Amino acid sequence: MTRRVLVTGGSSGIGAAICRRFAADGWTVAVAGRSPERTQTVADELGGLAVLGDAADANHDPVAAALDGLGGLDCVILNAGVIADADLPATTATDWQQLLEINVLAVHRHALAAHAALAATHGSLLLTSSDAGVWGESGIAGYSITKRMVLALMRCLAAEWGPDGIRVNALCPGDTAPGMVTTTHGRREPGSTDGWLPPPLGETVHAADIAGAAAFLAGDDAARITGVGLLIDAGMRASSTGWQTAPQVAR
Amino acid sequence: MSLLVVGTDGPVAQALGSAAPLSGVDEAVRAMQEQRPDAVAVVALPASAGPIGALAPAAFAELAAGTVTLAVMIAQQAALLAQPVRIVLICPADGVLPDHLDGARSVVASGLTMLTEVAADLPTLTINTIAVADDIPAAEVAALARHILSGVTPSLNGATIRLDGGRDAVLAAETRAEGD
Repeated sequence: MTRRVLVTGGSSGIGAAICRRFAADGWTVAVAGRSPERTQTVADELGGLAVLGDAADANHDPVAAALDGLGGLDCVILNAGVIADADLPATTATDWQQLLEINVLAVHRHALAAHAALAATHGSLLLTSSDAGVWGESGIAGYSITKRMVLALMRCLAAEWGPDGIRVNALCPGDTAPGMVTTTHGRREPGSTDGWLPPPLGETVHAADIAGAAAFLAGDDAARITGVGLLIDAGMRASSTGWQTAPQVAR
Repeated sequence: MSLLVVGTDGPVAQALGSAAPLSGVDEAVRAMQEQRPDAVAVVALPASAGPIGALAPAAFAELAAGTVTLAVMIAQQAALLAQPVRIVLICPADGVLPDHLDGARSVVASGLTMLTEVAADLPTLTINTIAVADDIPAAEVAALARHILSGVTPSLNGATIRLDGGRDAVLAAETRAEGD
């Protein structure tokens, strides 16, 4: 039987790469995004379902829409998120409210909506956190705080929903291209990795790397893995000074 | 020391000398601007809201607003005062080692531990979190908070201190024993 997955934030960057990887692995994919054009393009490319809506909208229920379209869900990947390129003094109340709403409250809301469907299939829930949630970055202070909260949410749900047969894990990407760092307006020139610190492995993390980790955590090989935040950062969080000894970064 | 106490009312706030701490974000931020304190205690010790998977989204949003949002906005205002300010955040011990039975508080408290980490390198701030178990006497929590806020141990900046009588250390030991 074909497995079914919902990916929020699926129309660009890491989310789109996850959609493409799961489709290539034979999953039926519901692509959720706020841009109608981008979301429909990815869904059409993959023969999947487009789910339109903004995670900031409390009335938006991508889980219900995916269940309507696919008839069930074996995996839900709550990947939609925003960043504020600001240290704490520069983080406005509006910045913080948007970060909290989309990165944490919407994730909680959509996870609760997915519980019954995932219990029915003994499915898997994946949350996108960040390496900045593991080891904070003062230049993206609010984002780091929300991504630490996502990790705690993941661990609590893993323990709480384990008896229902649901596995809950998190992806912790480092700077990834294409990804939030290269696609957020005002943060970098689109596609540019200029100024990135080279990780110990030398090569920048690619969105396909994150998608591969997601495919592993959603798959049968990870059947006994739950409550884990998996760093995919080419070693950046392995040492506080690892980047200083890295070879020339390959882009 | 000019101390401002904001956040959750209760024994810890009272032990810090505040019978009715400001709990609304707007009024607390206004107090920061008007009083310009050099020491701030953010008490984020709400009653347990139980497991996060059983908590209504609106209730979780309210919990987050009264704890992590309050702390973020207070720390942000402290940084904008352009004067030395020492901050201590006081939250449940679950912020360090999550407890799914107390999941809602675990999630918001985890945010406070990260706030401490990302604010610690701001030039005018020193900031710490005290992650306290529910059964620790309020006077002991207040004593540690006052010690930190006195500034005699500035190298503690950025640290989260678990004040739980060794509870989480014991849990870890039990887990290892069972795993063996």
